Amino acid sequence: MIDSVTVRRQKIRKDHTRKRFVFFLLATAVFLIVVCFARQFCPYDPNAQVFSALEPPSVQHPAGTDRFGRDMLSRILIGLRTSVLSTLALVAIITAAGTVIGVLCGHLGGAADALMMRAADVCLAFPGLVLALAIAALLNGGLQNAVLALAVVGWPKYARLARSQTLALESADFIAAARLSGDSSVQLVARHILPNIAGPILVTAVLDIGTMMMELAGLSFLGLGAMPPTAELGSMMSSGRSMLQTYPWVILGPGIAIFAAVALFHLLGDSVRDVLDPRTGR
Amino acid sequence: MRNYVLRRLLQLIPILLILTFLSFGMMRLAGSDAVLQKMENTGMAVSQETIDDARAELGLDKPFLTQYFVWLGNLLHGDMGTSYVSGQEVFPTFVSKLPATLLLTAVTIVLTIVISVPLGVWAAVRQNRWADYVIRTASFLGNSMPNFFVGLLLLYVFAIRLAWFPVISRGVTLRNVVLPSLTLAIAMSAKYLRQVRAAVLEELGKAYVAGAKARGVRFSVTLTKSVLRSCLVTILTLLTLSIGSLLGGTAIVESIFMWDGVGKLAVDAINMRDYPMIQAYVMWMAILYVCVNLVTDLSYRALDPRIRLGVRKG
Repeated sequence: MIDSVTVRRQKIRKDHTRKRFVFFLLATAVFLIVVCFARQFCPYDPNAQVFSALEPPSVQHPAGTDRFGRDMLSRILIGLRTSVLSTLALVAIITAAGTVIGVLCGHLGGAADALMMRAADVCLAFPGLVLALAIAALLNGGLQNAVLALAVVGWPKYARLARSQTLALESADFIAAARLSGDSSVQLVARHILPNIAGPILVTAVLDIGTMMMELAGLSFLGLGAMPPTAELGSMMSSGRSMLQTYPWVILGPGIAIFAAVALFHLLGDSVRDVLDPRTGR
Repeated sequence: MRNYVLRRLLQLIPILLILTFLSFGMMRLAGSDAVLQKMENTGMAVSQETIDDARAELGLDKPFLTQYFVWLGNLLHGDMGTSYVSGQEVFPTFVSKLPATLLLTAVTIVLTIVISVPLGVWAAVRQNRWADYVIRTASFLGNSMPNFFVGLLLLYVFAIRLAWFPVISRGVTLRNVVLPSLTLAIAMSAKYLRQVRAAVLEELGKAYVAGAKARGVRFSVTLTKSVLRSCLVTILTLLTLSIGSLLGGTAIVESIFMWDGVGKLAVDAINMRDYPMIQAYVMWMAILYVCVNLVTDLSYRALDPRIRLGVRKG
């Protein structure tokens, strides 16, 4: 009797996590579509300096105008596009690079494994953002270089995860069976290892999007990311800093935009984790 | 124990060598035209001869490895070259700014513990009640805000609107440290609180908690005497793990609040492409971080004799 109640309760919870996941997935999809086609949603040209400067939010300009007389809402939309797309590129790069390195290290072992893992240790020996700052400065700033800098700092986490997952699988019976039935290394990795480690890596990657977006915006805030006149949320906030006292909307608009995007990605990440990995969380 | 400490200290040597080598190599790659950079700042036309002379003077014409060992030797004497911008010696400048950053970091860590440990424990004890939901929502919000946004919001509300704190901090005082450290502590607590909650929840799920309850032990006694004590190691570890991001975060927060520490020094140096200064910052931060990690590892031993580090798993 008690057992059936427990089972039913578990089922209800499972349905609930599923629904949550689908909801946030749809919400993110809508958000990404809006972001990708941001140009179409802009009420005005984001770079046109045609309005009076520093107008407070109004019906014509829901987010006000900046000190050059540009419409803030349009700039926030384009800025979101810049931030989100470069963040997604960054997460894609570190996930792919880390997974490839980790799987190869775990699968092949030997000197290559030792070498790459020491390289990962070295990257992790630096405090992350400090290293990213230095690399971005070294490369003379720019959005691409900021992404590159964060990628150098970010890959070891994925490499280690992929490697430990691969090592755990290597001793599994079904891998031995596949090997006995004549699978080559490539087939083994592609057919058996990758599909089995994809879950945890995907969860880590989705959970990382929000954090990476904040770090990338942070580099831009310090002048090491997007260069003007490109609209990017971090650099918009940085240039609005001196006007905080009298014109707070110059900061508030982009800040709320980053916050909303990061929150959405975090919610998506949490729900992906709940669906794919029911043991942790809650 | 003594052997263990000795071994860990010996292991530190190759790590430090690699860190210094990388810091040196990175900045040398960027600063290969250090001389040109310096000359450009003077704004005068210079002949190739002058450039070569300056290169020879700085030792830039020697092989890379030789340069590294010379640099390392100077480093051990506290000589890290002179700033391209101000012309002052890098190391003394850096050291003079370090206390401000250390104070900021220390206050942040204390604030983080004060905020997140009680809230995390409370949320765990009241799992899935309203207190838990409120605390978790707050943690989620704090987790989703970049620290520069939090900093600017605090600045706007408490310094500009309410005028409780100065907008630009003049001097390193306890009053001035409040807003920057609160900014950092909010971001850190948000992350840390969840981990404390999870650690306490895991411990609360263990059989001995139910056993103690069955025997009539008061819950507050179980909580403080058993649960929290066994969570201590986890909680400490997780805290030191976040020190890496704290060290990086100080750069942004210091430059928002004009806090005169090494973070602001580094950001100014980055904007001026003052490579020797950037180099000093990266290297010392990395060394500091390595040392913090070492101290953490050592404190595990002191706190929990069961842990046999040195025996590596898998």
